[in-house]
Amino acid sequence: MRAALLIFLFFALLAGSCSTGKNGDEPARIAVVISTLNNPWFVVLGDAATERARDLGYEAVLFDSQNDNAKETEHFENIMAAGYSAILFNPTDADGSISNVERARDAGIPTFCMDREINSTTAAVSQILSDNYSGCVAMGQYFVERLDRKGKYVELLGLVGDNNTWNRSRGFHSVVDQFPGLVMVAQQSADFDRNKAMEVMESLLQAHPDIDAVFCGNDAMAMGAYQALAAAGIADRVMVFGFDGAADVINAIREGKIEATGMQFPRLMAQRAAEMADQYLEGEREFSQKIPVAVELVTAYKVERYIPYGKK
Amino acid sequence: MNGLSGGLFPKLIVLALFALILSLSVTFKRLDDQTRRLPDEAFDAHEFARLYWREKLLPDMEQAVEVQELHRCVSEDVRAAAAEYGHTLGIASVHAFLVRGEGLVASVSKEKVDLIFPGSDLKVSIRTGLIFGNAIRDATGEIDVNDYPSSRDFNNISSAFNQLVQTEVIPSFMEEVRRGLRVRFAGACEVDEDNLELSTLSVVPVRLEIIGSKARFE
Repeated sequence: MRAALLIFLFFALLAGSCSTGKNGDEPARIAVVISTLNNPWFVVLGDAATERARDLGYEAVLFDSQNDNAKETEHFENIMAAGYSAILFNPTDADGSISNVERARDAGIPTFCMDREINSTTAAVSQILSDNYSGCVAMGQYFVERLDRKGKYVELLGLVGDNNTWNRSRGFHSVVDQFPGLVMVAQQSADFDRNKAMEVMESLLQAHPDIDAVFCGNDAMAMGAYQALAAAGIADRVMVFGFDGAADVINAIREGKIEATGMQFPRLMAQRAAEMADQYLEGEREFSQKIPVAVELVTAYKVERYIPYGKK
Repeated sequence: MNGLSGGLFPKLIVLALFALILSLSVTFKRLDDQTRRLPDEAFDAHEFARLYWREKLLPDMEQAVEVQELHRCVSEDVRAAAAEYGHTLGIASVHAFLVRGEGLVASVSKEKVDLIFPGSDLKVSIRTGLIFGNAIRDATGEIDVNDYPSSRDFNNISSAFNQLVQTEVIPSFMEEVRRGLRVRFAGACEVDEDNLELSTLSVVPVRLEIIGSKARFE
């Protein structure tokens, strides 16, 4: 009787340990934590990650951090408590997000960063990141060419806690600042947000109505800036440069409204992150800590090669 | 014994003391230590670039692929050429190569010096204006993005290399170069498999030498 009970308990435990595996009765769960779903680019990132994780046989749940590190922390606590197997992660803050990833790591949950990095090489299993700096070096060179090395411009920055903001700005300035004829008359953050960019641009135009160009750290801000310029009746003479490869900017480049953008590849990054998570859960442990993904300059001359968030 | 007692021994003592003082006063840093450091330790990209340039990059240029060989390989199969001679940073269509060669100066401008090669359609543009991009850093294949917790440090290495080219290699070369002279060069170039331009290879120079002149610019 005792032996039968022990045998029964053994098989019950065995069944229980299999139940969270990919091939068990219940699929393993992967959390997809995105900095904000209020921006189409990040919606694409989150959807692509979720879809690929599901294709690979996982249950995938999307979490929106609303650009709030505290909200992100709350998500991580819930994810750890609920026993997710892996996290596909788009951080809100390169420094502030490290502790979240470390806690998940210590709880045995691997994290794969997408698009934005954290300033640690030991917390996440891997980080697949756009090479924003180099993308904006190329953007800066095109900017110089289009303005013929002279003119006044403003710069709209993204979120100040995001390394991408500064990688883009530094890449751009590493080129443009070499040309004394190009003068930045204002630089202000609009948090990667379209509406905020429109408000900031309207305000900047009050002080600087004679600018020749605006460089925006992402496409949402570029569209917001363009709206403000159009409302002021000067969109035809002020060049707008963005970054992301978003659908509305790709169309705007075709129409001659926006000069250029830097094509990132959110679908590629998201899918690769999901695949790495799957490999990890299947036992693989050799991953590059950082995998840069090149950003490609999209101009009127090359726009036909591209689709929103990707290449034909 | 006679030699030691006759004065050699004191000299050995002096030499030993000198060596001891020298070893205590000079710090030797391994090049590898420059990239592997504690997360909180500040990274000096300019110091790293100078050290790397002197200790690794210049010696490595002797093993760079000859430019006409590279051109032949790239013309046949870019990816195979990249696998054989080049390096690719992450997921990208751009491949970086260390390259060397010798050609005739066809034209000189502020932005570039064009070299031609008798018997070949190939043209090499030595970049002599402002230098941007990651050609040198990525062509080495040894400067690993995974060694840098913050991408800012990794990016600054490229800027530092480019600055060395602009300050150490180009200015003196431009004072002497003329159309018709032979130039020996070594540097880095990038090939974009999605935007192949095979008639001209653009090279960021690491070393330039006008043949027949005693000057070398590196």
